[in-house]
Amino acid sequence: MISIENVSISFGSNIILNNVHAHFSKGKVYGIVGENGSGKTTFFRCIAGLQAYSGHINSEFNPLKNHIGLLQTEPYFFSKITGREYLQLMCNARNIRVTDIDSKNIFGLPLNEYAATYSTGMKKKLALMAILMQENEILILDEPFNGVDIHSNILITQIIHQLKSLNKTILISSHIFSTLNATCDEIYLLDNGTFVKKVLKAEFSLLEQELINFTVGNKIEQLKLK
Amino acid sequence: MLNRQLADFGLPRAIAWIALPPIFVSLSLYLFYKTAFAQYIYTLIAASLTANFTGTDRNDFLRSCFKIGDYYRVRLGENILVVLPFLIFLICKNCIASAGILLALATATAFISFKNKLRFIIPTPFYKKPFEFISGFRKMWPALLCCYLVTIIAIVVHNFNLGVVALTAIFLLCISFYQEMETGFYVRVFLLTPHQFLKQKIATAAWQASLLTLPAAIALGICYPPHINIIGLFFCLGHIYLATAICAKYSAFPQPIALPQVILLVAGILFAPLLILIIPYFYIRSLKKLNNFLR
Repeated sequence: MISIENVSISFGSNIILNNVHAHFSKGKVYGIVGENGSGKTTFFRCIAGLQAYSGHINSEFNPLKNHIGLLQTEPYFFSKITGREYLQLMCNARNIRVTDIDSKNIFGLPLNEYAATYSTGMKKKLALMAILMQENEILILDEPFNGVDIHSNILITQIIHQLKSLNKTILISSHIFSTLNATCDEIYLLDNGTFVKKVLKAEFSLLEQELINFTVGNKIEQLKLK
Repeated sequence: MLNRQLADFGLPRAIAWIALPPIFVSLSLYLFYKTAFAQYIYTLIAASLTANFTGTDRNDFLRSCFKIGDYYRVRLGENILVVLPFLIFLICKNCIASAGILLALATATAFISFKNKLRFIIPTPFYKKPFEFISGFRKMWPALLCCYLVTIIAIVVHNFNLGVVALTAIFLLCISFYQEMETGFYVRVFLLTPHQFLKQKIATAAWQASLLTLPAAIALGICYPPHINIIGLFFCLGHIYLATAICAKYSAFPQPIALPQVILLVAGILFAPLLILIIPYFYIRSLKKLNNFLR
């Protein structure tokens, strides 16, 4: 369980998060949607403890950061380190004995090659593999489907379902509504640094229609495509 | 770009541009004073600087921005600009042949781009604790190889001092492995307090540095038994400097190490007793900085 109370961040006069409130329970998958720059990544970084904030983030886990696996939008890899060594490093960090990496390599990654030379999707899959091997209780997945091939998208969706059945708390951001529809129990809509709406699964189709109407409007006509 | 790097380093631009030419000339004069091979070393150093511009990604970007003729003019201009101070100095020293070779090399490398993402994976003994050493070893293995060769030469030509220089160089290379600053993510992920984190970093560095330095130290010890105490002293000092460099790195975290830390580090290297003050200073500052990520 994670409870977010009055969390705010601003850089100078630029307010990124403004008195955010939310409650995330065990065994549930939460989607966070919002336009680019709406504060999704900053919100995730606050929960993961990578960003200073005002307000309170409480959890049954203490310290919370020791139980969180954060999949970053663009995972950074130290140069000249292979995929296998990255997994070893991430497991070392959590005192987890590395066993049988190859059988866990369900994405078929070239683990003996330098991680920095991987494609965008491969980097994401490697970083995901690492946080799964760390056996975290809370998983924050910042755009896990972005840049990943269709086969891996299917696998990631199934992994999320499995994690949910293992009573983990999962937070996902995605710009592809269908992926959220397939995985989430609730979706929070982030706008101007605040959660403006919380939508339950039964209302996802309404939210999607609302997003389409709001986003598209008459913008296509404005293009005057010929 | 250089101005930004200077600013990040904590050096005011005006001071840097005033100070750099005399520093450059002083170091050049010192090199020429110290060795008869200076012009060759000097040419090699200058030519190696142009290698920074040969990366494929960078050149692909430049090619996409400029017409092919302009692209080669930009590359040539960059290379000449970088080697120009070296060229002028070589000409002043009347090393015309070396200056000519340098100019030819700078011109030739303007037409070359290397793929810097080698697929070949160099095996290392550091796979159980992969981080700075595994990455640094793979980047610096040619330099390490040179150090071992110098150690062998020192033994063959009965020059103990040269052997100590090689041992020191290996330690300096180990320290250089800690130049690359990781993101907060790589610190935050550890289940450790700041004190435990630093302790683990130093302990890992100590045994991994020992793996690299012990072969040279043992070889020197076997060949120069009367100097075993000096070898031991340099071995211990190397480890102390390595630990100091780690504390210095995290004393600025997550920012890269800046001028004040470098000055203190160099002061400690030049006058070892200062380490009694410098190490606790860096250590306490590191604990403070790491506390933001490991609390």
